[in-house]
Amino acid sequence: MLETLAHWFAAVCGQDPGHTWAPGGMLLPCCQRCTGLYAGAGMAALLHLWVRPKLSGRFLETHGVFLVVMAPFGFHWVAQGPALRTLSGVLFGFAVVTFLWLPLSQRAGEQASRLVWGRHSVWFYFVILGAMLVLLPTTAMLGGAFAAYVLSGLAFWGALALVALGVGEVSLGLLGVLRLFRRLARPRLQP
Amino acid sequence: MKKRKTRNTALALVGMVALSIYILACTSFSPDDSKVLYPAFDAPSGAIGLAVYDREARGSEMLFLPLAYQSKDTNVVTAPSILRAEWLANGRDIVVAYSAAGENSSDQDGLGVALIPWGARKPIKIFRVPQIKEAGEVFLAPLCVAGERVFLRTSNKEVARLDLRTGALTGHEFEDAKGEVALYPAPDGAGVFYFEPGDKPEEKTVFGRLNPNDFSRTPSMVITNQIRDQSVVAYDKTGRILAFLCGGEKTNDLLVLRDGQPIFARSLDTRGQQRNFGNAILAANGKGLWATFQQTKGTNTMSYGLMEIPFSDAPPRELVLINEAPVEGEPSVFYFQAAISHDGKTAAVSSTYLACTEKEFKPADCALFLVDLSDAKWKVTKVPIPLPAERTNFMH
Repeated sequence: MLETLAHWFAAVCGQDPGHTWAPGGMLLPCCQRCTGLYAGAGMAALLHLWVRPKLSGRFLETHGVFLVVMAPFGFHWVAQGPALRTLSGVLFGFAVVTFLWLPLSQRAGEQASRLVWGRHSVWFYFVILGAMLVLLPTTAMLGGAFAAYVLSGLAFWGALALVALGVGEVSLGLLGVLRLFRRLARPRLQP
Repeated sequence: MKKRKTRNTALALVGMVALSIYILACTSFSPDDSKVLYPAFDAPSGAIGLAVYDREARGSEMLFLPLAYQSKDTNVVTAPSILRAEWLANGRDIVVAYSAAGENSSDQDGLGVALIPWGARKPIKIFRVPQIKEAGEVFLAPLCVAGERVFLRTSNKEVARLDLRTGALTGHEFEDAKGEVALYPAPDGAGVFYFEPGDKPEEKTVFGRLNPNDFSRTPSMVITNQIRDQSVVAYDKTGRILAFLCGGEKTNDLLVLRDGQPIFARSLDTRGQQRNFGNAILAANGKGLWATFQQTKGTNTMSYGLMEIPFSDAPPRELVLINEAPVEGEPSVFYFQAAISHDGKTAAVSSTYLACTEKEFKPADCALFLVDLSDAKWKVTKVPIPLPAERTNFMH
């Protein structure tokens, strides 16, 4: 399974073995940062689908910071170890999914789930994010072969979620373009 | 409402662009197979150095040339007897291991390691790893590079880990190992594998993965057959498929294991013990093996070539690259080892070291051979390696 995943992730990850977790001696299919990104994206996608936190201004600003944080880490402007690489990936994954989810959330209807979670939805979202930041590097560092499969599965789910969101965005974009063409093609009424 | 929609679309676009930048930046670091490292002679000194062949520009340049002296009296340059180089997985740095001392030096047990940046103005780092008991053995297999760390066997049960970034050298002893622990690099720098034979030749050998961080060993499979030659072993990136030669003196049996279970076996024609194999590499599709070989017709000449051995009943395909080179001493096929490009389309093998072992080696045969494996006829590009007037001999 890991071999197949490694083959797929090779298309989007450099897979530098020096920067890859190996729980139980098994190399994960993507590097430490990508593991954080895709696992984080997978968890964020679940949270947006299930908890539906209110995408308010403050919430989006925080995720904007998460997105920007990737620059100093991704471009290696700051010294970092395996844990920091993973954490920067998790934050980036949460931010990307949140931004990609924005246009789709309008169509999905935010209200239904928020009735269940109410004002606690944002708190719950950030508690899970905090748990991810603690558990992901810890599991990768201390876990065995089972942890390798769990982390790889989570990263794979995150990659699938990102692909689905990307397809959704492109579909929305195409719909928008189609609508624009229709509007332009409609004959204007004479005054 | 319209303002909110515009904001959402803009932020989604930002997310999409950020993700695209991240993915593109992450994949651009892998080696691209455009250049080949190989040992070559330096004409003015006669020493052996490390050269780079650019396949697109079709040109070579000498990159690294460490010199040593045969004797304090004569000042005859012998150069390191042998060196071995690998690209790091990032594709931007080259690591070279070479003999650190001259013939009469008191530091015979040392090994030099250099980290050479490629395409960037960065300092060259030179390291010296002391107390390598059998330095010659280091060069029989590709360097064990995992990420930015090199693993070197210092004695039968000891290994040194050199961090190429910080220079930290960490020694480790496999106290619980039954026999000698041999290290091999996983393809693409994806870790380190090990072979751990038992105390006696007839005992089982364990093959597994070495954790580069804490030196712990995780067995992948137990081999009950006796491995005939540990330089002719091939494996895949995950360490689940292993191919090796077994059998007695007169036969060469190829055995392929997957997760420790035999999946294929065949006998290889040794032409009455007149053929030996150099090194072996598993084909990228896992359906066969590439191996270098030498064979003689019983005369004082030896031919060297490349062979494809399919994991099926189909006959092996052979290509002779050097035909009937004169030989005097022992078979030297270990000095004729091939490498396969990451895309699996090209094999590269150089005959520099053969020229060092045989005085009568023909200058026309000293070359870097690039074999286009994607071509039906296996088109060969021969890059000449000029022989110096005074050829150095090995001193290992």
